[in-house]
This record gives sequence, structure tokens and C-alpha cells, in this order.
Amino acid sequence: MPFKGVLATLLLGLLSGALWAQEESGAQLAAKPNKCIALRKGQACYQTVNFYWRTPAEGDYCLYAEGQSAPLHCWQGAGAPPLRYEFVGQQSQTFVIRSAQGVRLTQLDLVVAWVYTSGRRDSGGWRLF
Amino acid sequence: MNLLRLAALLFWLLSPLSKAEDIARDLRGNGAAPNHNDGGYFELGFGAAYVVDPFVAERKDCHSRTVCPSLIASGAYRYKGAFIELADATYDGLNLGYGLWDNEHWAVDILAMNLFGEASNDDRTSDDPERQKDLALIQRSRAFIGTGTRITGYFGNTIVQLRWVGDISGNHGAAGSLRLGQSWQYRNWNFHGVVSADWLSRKATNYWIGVTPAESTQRFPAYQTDGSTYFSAEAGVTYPISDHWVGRTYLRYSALPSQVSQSPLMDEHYALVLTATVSYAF
Repeated sequence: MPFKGVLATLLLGLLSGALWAQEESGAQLAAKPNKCIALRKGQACYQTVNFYWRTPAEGDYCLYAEGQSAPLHCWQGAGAPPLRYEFVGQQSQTFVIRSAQGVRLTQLDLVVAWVYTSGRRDSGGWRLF
Repeated sequence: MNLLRLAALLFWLLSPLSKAEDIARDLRGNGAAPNHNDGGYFELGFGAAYVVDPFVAERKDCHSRTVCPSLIASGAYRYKGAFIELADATYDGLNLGYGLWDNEHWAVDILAMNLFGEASNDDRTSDDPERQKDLALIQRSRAFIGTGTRITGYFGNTIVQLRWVGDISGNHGAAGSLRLGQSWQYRNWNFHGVVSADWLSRKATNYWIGVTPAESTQRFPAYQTDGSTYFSAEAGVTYPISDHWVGRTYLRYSALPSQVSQSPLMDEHYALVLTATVSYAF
């Protein structure tokens, strides 16, 4: 196994707290941290995330943020994880590894959570006792 | 001074000197727009506070101008317009009220009961009548139970609030405030600033810092004054440590007018609170 592959395996093994996703394809994707905490609902949440993956030795792959057409990162074979990514979002985001043929190999969710889930009334108006 | 006494001191310092949903909570957490959905939150926290207490006091521990441990409990709950609030680092104290009206930018609340100030802590006594009168003045209740209304405007990250409460008993006057708050977000750090003007009626001012001829002693001569206005400024930052833990720190400074600071019951011309806390939100 190439050194990078060993390193990736070790890193993946160490990511016990990270969210794992493995498909029949043999691809694996993990993110650490896998959660972004904002103070209140509706705020943009900022989080530096490291993505780790394992992909078959042969083939071309790309990591996508679901809903976006442009890949975040592409590689050949095992690639060279981790990928350092600056996440900014108001909602949880799904990340997907796709093959060059566009086949969805694996995915994971980066969860956005809030301490305060304050809401906003849909409509105002006078209240009556 | 035990922790409960410290909590009472902080409660006083953080309420009358300074006063939506409590503007402090609006700016630090749940704000940005009128929030009248049913539900609420409860928090318990701990930390440390450096307090400059403007009142003359005699304490066994945790003196003014020292860093003291602090315990914090705060929460709010709304149901069909009715609410109860006790915000951390409050400007308001305890509020029981009703959201009368709101739209995208404005909220009008009736404060059925507002409680702020420090209850009497008359745990020290003396056999010497003069000394006992001194202690009675130092330890007298400064609790204020009022009823009134508040109008809060939300404009993006800026909040303006006008508030008025009158004492329920009719003996302790009235208090009003005008506040302007601003919040900023840098990554997940939430910064805020508040400037305030607080007005106390003649009765309210003398309730807190006046000495009647009957109460007067050699150490604390009679002192009565007119209504007063004082100004405060606050800056702070809040950080979500996890989805339940929150870290906060802020500095608040209140400049007292000379008519207040000249009271024999006062030994500072300003009040200051610098605090850092970690709270768990349930």
C-alpha cells in the first residue's frame, strides 16, 4: 500500500469521533469536526472542516457540496486527504463523493446546530387578552 | 459574602443601573427580530466577576473591586403571548408580561410585573442603636416591583428599546430607559454593544440612595435629591462552545450623576461589572 494510502487509513482509524459514511463502492468519507455550532438559528455558521476519504486505487473522484455543480476537490485513486475546507452555511450540508462517471459513491452530512432556536413569528398583529 | 449575596449584588448591579425581550438577551442570543413563538430556554452558568459596587457596604467576603465567583441562572418562556423572563446579565430583572403587538420591526409588550433590585439582607445586627441604624441603611431593601410597558424596535443587527415601569406600591416612584444596542458576528463570535440612558423619578432615586431625617445617623446624614438620569455603556462577546454550552464576557460601565454619587450611601461615582461566564442551555 502506498504511503499516502497507509496515512489515510491511519487517519481514518483515528477519526473515531467523526461521522463515517461507507458505501458498497468501498468509498469512505469522514469529516472532522462533523458539526458546526452557531449561537442562534438563522445565523451563518463558520467551521473549518477536514475531509478524509478512502477511494479505490483506480479512478477519478470529486467531492461535492450537494446542490453545487462545481466540485470542491478532485483527485485520482486514493488522493491525498485531508482536504481543509472552510464551511459557511445556515443549514446542514450534504457532501458527496462522485466518480468521474457521476456515480454517487458515498456521502455525509455536516450538521449545523444552534444553541438558541429562536423563531420569528410569521405574522404580527394586535393581541387580545 | 456568600454566593447568594453575590448573586443578589450582581442582580442589582445588572438591573436598575442599566434595563426587551431583555435587550441583553436580544443582543447576545435570541434576538434579531420580535420573537413571540411559544417556548423558551433555561440556563445555568458559572464564572467570575469583577464588580465596582457604588453602594457603601460592609461585607465579610467578596468586596467591591475584587474578583468573585458568580453563579448565574437565566431563562425565558413564552406561551400564547404571555412571557416570563430572567435574562443573564439582565437589564431588566424578572419580567412577567404579555406581548401585545408586534410586526416585522416592532414589538410592544406589557410588563405586568417587573422585579429588579436587591432584597434586604439584614443578617447583621448590633445592640448599639446608632450602629443598628447604620446597618439598617446599608442593608435595606432596594427591590423594585413595577408594572409598565416596553417598545422594542429591531432593525437588522440594531435594537432600540424604550421602557417605562412604575412601582406597584406607588411609594417607590418610576423608572424609564432608552437603549440602543448593536450586534456583530465574526465567524461564530457574537459581539455586542449597548448604550443606555436611565431615568429614575424623584421617589425612585430617593428610594435607592436617599436618607430620610428619621433614618439619618452621624455616619449617614439625611440626604434627599431630585429625579436622576445616568448613562451606561456595555461591550461584550458570546461564543457557542457546543450546542448546549455558551461562553460570555462583557464589560459594563455606568456613570452616576453627582446628585447620586454624593449620597452618603454611595462611595463611588460609577458602577462597573466585568464578567466571564460559561453557561449550559437546557
